[in-house]
Amino acid sequence: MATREAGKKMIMLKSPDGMEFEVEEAVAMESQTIRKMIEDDCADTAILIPNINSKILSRVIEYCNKHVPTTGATGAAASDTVAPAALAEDLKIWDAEFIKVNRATRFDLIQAASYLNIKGLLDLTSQTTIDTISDNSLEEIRSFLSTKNDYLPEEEQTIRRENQWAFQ
Amino acid sequence: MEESAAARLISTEDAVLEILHRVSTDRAALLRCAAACKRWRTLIADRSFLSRCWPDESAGGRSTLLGFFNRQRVDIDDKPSYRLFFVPPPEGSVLGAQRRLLTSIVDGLPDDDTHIAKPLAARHGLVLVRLLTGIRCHESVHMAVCDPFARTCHMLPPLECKVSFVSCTFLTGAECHRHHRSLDYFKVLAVVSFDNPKGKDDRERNLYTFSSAESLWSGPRKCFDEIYRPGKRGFQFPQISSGNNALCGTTAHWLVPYYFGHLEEPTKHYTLDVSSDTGHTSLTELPTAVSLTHNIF
Repeated sequence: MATREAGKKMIMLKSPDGMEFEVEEAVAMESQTIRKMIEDDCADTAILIPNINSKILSRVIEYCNKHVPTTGATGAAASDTVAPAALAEDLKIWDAEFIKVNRATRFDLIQAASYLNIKGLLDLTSQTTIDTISDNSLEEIRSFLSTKNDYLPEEEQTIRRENQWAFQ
Repeated sequence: MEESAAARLISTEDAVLEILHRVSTDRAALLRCAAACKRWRTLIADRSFLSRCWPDESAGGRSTLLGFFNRQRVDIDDKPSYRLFFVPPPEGSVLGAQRRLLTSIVDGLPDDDTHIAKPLAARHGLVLVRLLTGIRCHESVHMAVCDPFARTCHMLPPLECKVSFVSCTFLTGAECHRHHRSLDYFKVLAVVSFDNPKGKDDRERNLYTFSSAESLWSGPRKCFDEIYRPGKRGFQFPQISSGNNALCGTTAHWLVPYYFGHLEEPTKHYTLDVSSDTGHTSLTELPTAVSLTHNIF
C-alpha cells in the first residue's frame, strides 16, 4: 500500500481502435479480469482490451475511477469530511446519471462489464434490461432484445400450454 | 445502431448468461426468456447454468423441491394402465403446477403398455427409472437416467444377467469423487437378486455398477457368502426397490437382516456397505435388532 501511494503505479489500456488510456493500477484492478492479469504477471506495459471500443472503454474507466475504494492518504482526507452514508448517496446519484445512455451503449457496457468482470458496473448496466424482461410479455422481450423467434407456431403453443404459470 | 448493438449483445454468450443469471430470481421471466428463441433455451437448459442459478447444498446453497414421481393408474380403452407421473409440490414447481406424464417432460423415454417406467431413486434433479417390459423379463434390466430440467434421457445399456429383483441407488457428480465432479456424471449401483423358481438352491445376490464415464456395466460381484432360504441360515436381501438404502459420502448402505433358518427366529442385522469409488463391498453387523417394517433413512 505504502509504495503505491508514494508513486502510483500506472497501467496502459489499449482499445482495438488504437486509443491508449493511462490509468492507475488500483483503478484498472476494479476489473477482476485485469486484476488477474496483473497478479499473474501477464500484464506488460500495455494491456489490449479486445472487443471494447475507445468510446465504451473510456466510460468504463470513468466508472472505475469513481468507484475505486478511497483508501490511503488522499482518500482518508476525503472521507473525513464526508460521512460514508452521504458518500454512498452521492455514488448512487452519480450512477443514475452515468446510466442515462441509449440502449445500444447500455448493451455495449454490459458486454464490457461482463468481459472485464466488473460486478458493480454489470449490476448497474443490466438492471434496466432485467426489469424490462421481468415486467414484459414474451413478444416484448423478443422485440426489446431483437431476438428472432425460431420456434414453430405449434412448438410455441405447446410451451405456452405446458407452462401457463409463466405466461400469465 | 440500436439494432446492431442488440444483435451484438445476443451474439455474446457471456453477457446473455449474466443477464439470464440475474433474471433467474424470477422463474417465470426466465422461462419466458427460454421461450424467446432456441439459442436462449439451450443456454438456460445447460446444467452448468442451472447449477449456477440454483447451487446445490454441497456448495452451500439452497435446494428446491422439484416435485415427486409417482406411478398412477390411468385407464386407456377401459383397461387399467400404470404410468409414471410428475406430481408438483403444493406451491408449484418449475416443471409446472399440474401433474403430468414423465414422458411429457423428458424426450426419448418409452413409457407405454410395453415399457413401463418405474422410479428407483432421485438425486440432484436426476431421476433413475427402471423400464419394465410388459412380459416379466428374467434376463436383463433396462434403466434410464432422466434429467427433467434439460428434458433429456440417458438410456443405460441393458444389464444382462439373471434377475428376479433389482435394488438400486445412484450418485451424481455432486456426490462423487473429486475427479468426477462433472455435472453430467453419474454412477449407478445395482444389487440384483435372482431366485430360480425351479431350483431352490439357485440364488444369487450380485452387485453391478455402471459409470456414465465408461458407459458400461461392471460386475457381477458377489454380495453375500450365505443367502437365506427356508431351513438354511443366511442373508435375506430386502425385496423392496427403494427406501431400503442410504447414501453416505460415496458409500451406499443397504440394511440386510440375517436369519437363522426360519423367518420367525431372532435375527441379526447388517448393513451391506458398497463403496462407489472401488465397488468394494463389506458387511457391518449392527449392535441392536431393528424392525424392518418402519425404516427411515
